[in-house]
Amino acid sequence: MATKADVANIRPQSIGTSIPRREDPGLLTGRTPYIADIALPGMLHVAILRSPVAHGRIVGVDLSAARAMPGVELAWSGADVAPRCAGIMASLDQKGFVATVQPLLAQEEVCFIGEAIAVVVATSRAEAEDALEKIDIDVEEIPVVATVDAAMTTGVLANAKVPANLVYRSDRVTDDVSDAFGAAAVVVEGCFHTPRVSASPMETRGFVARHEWTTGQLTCWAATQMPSFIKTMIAIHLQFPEQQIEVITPQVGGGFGQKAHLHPEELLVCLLAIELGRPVRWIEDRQENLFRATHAKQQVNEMALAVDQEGRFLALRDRVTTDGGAYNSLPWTHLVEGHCGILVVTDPYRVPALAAETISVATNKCPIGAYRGVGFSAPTLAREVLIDRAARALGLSPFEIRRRNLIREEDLPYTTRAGLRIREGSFLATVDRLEAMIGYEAFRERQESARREGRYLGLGISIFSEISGIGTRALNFLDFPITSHDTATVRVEPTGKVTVTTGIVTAGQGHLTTLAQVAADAFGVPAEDVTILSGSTSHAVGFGTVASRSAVFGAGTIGRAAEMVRAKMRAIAARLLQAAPEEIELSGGMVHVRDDPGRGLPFASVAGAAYFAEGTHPEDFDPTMEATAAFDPADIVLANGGHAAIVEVDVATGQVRVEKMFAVEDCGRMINPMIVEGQIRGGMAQAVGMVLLEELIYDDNGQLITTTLQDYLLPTALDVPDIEIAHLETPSTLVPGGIKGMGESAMISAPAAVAGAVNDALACLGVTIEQFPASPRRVFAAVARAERT
Amino acid sequence: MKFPAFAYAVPETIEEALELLASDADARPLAGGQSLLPIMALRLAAPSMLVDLGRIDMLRQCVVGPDRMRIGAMRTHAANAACFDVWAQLPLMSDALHHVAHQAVRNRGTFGGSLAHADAGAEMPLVVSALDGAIILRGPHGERSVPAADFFQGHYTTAIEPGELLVAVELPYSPLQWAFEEFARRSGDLAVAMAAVGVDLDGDVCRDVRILLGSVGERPIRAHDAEAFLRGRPLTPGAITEAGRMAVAGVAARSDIHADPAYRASIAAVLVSRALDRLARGDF
Ligand SMILES: Cc1cc2nc3c(=O)[nH]c(=O)nc-3n(C[C@H](O)[C@H](O)[C@H](O)COP(=O)(O)OP(=O)(O)OC[C@H]3O[C@@H](n4cnc5c(N)ncnc54)[C@H](O)[C@@H]3O)c2cc1C
Repeated sequence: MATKADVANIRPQSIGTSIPRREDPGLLTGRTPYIADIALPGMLHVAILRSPVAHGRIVGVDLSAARAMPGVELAWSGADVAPRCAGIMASLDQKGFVATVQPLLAQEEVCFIGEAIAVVVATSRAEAEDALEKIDIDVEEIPVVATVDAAMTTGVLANAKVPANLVYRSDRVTDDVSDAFGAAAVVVEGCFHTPRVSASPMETRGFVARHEWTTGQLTCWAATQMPSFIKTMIAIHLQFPEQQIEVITPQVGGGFGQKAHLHPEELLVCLLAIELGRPVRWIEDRQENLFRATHAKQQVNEMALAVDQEGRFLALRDRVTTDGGAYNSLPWTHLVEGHCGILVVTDPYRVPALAAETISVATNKCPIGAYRGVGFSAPTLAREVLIDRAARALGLSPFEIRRRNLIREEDLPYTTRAGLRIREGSFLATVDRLEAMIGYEAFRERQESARREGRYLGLGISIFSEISGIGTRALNFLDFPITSHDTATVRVEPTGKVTVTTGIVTAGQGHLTTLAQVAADAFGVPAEDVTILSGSTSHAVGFGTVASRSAVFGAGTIGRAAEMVRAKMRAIAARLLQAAPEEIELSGGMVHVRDDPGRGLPFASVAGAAYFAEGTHPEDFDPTMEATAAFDPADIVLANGGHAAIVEVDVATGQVRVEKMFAVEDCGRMINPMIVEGQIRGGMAQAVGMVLLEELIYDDNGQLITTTLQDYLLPTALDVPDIEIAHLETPSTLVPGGIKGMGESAMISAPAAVAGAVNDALACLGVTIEQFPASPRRVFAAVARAERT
Repeated sequence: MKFPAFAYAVPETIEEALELLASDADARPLAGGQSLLPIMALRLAAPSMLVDLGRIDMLRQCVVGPDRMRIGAMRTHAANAACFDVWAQLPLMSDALHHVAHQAVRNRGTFGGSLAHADAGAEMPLVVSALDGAIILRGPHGERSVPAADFFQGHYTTAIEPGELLVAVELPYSPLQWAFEEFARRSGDLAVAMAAVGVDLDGDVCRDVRILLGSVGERPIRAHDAEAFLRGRPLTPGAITEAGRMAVAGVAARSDIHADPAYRASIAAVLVSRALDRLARGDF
């Protein structure tokens, strides 16, 4: 019986080649429309008044002066919205999880700077902003919970609906590790702070909605990674008939997880379009993006690792506190950080005992959400820095200690203490490869001689195993009770061309190219003969482009659907070639008898026959030359690899410069190596940002201080060094073509490499850096402290 | 982040521009717009009128004299960075221009705009102060020349009176050898701290020296004590370190999210020492 996990047969031909991205001509010449390019007749513009205080009770919102401003068509406060939509309910079916409801516009309570209080719709955005200045708000300030410490100790609530500020506590694995720590030759421990960062896609968020009252159709243009999800959520939250909703994603200018949520503004814009009967557009500006688009990654990992005399890991303890902000974001909630983290914290090492617990607390800050490397970045950083520290204590090389602990071929399948079954992974090969790329011995010599000149070089490495191509099994493992499959429709056209419709949205990843390569190989035709249609919920159903899943789900769905259509092609060809259908193969643009390409017909001829020549049809032939299929992998798809960084620290100023970075990536069979490398490079740039530059800073009153890109420092091209990349290919058996997911790995493990390198550079001074970003100020202070003692 | 409404005028002469400014107390000159327009977009400023100086050719003139250069206010950073005379006669300015923003911003941002804006972290105010330049202002009642030491009064504050335009800057050619050092979070960012150091060496002995700190205080600071200490002294490693320390002694440094006063002063000391070290080694 066919199931959604069936692995179709795809023979790599185009797969594995770096063909140029077909989307680039449009992107590079500016001809491809983004959401801000959507212009509809009569379109109106939205501006949102955002809370100037971190925590307050709304006493009154006076919109009368704003409504009288030129160009203003409508102004609403929370009272106007409440009857139309109660807010975004973010709940999870988990014991102890505290659900939150985030209103589209604040009702009685505002819980963070930037929370929406009122909205103005006008004929231009400038006029709408002019009108915002005329809104008179009366907000009574109430005590602010600005830090996790305050959340846990002061008794002040950040959000009246979250008792004790505790959104979620989990401790799935609580082995007794006291013996292991007692018996350890070396115990390394630290308290690692990862910063609150913003994914900062180059295109901010945005949403355009048009409600056609004559037909009842609601058409939405969304800068989102999850259009199908948004469509269903609009239907549920606004009680709007789902069949009359279309969510279109024009080109999306980066998402990195930030656009993988249902945002309050998206529902608000729908309501405004319905109310006004005119198209309404909201394009977030950069400052709103810093204030209000989901933040990410702020955690404290108190971690300890017990190691024996030979450098073998005995146990790992981790206590994670996540600063989750005032609400849960849908669908990922506060679980997105610490909770996911403790379930993957030991991958890819053999760690016999684990005691890990996590709490996520509410604070008067912007809610956290998904950002590339979800859950992994922070614990990986802590773990890898501690491993280096243990290696130093034992006099082992950082490569050697990892070799002694990584999961080996003979351990597979290996089940981690958290319950993740690791079925494959080229972990040792990754370490060897990295070591060779770096030239480890030579590096240590260079480091020595530089030190004699007062220059401090450091090397950091990190090894990862990544849950990629996240489907239902993976989500359930992470305690998200969510089912996640996609569909694709594949059609062979009368002239032998192939049209694929998919629910996968693309935000710069090049799916139109890679999925065409997959479909081409499914039919044995050139990639130019395939067109991928994506970008509208009227095409196909998809969970979204999140969690490194599109290659897996693209290949899975297209493979299964293509197999159904291939059967038709085989049936006709078998009849014409007088062979059995099982003997027929599709390759090189031909439909031919296996091992005998001479006995064959052009693919186009067979397709034409299906449409136009009934005489060629076998008996009872069903000429539907298209098929729709779903896919969801049978088990968790795992990719793996490692990263390394070499940095130089200027101890006189605290400045860290990254000299070079390295990546080894095993994402199974690569569809397009050039695109794989682009994903790695982009993620490594973000890793440099998170570890050295980026930090959203709130003051004691919950005021965000870093409100422009002059203060929130993103890495530029000049801050990112040369990156050397090597590939290993361990094909997956769960996905057609042996493909695995990738895209997030560099934000999973490259931050750890950069952090490790900074620590390695300073180890000789007795300095450790556990608070990130490792800004010059922090590094300088740490060096000064060490000099004093 | 859209501008509040404003009137817009594009005069073609300085006189016309002055008249426009005189006609409206809330009018502001617009040069490259690289500082003013972001501030307006953030609605931190709302001038009633922008007087665009972009079509006044006079303001783009550069006169190369035998002992000084007069550079028009509307010369862009990019034009100055690509100018042979600037490179040959004002190497300190040439060096510092590499630290000003990124090419796209340098293509629009102007010399005069940068001085009028007087961001404490900007490079050009430090350069003009180090070279003892004079800022030429023109108002309804004529022209006046203000020495750099009097022109820069604080972060975003200068000697420009309402209704006045900065028309040009006169920079004398310096007999000293200069080194410029800057510390910024990323390349192209405004400085956290910077130092411009000029020396006249006789062998390794400092015959003359001039040390200015930028972004440490609200305006460029001259390190008189360190200069006095070095005059007549050989540039030994010990003297170099000591001069760095003296340059920041007693300085009330600024504070922002990147650096508190003590840290900022430490960096400035390091920058002064590094500049001196380069000069001692002949690496400039
Ligand atoms: C991303 C970015 C990075 C930057 N990095 C740096 C950097 O590293 N270092 C640096 O020094 N600068 C930096 N800048 C600022 C840049 O150099 C600006 O060009 C400069 O500060 C202002 O010049 P402008 O011509 O754009 O002036 P404008 O923005 O047009 O004007 C600035 C102010 O000066 C006034 N003004 C302008 N011209 C005159 C005049 N002739 N007479 C009287 N008043 C006048 C205006 O009314 C306004 O108040 C950066 C800017 C950006 C956007």
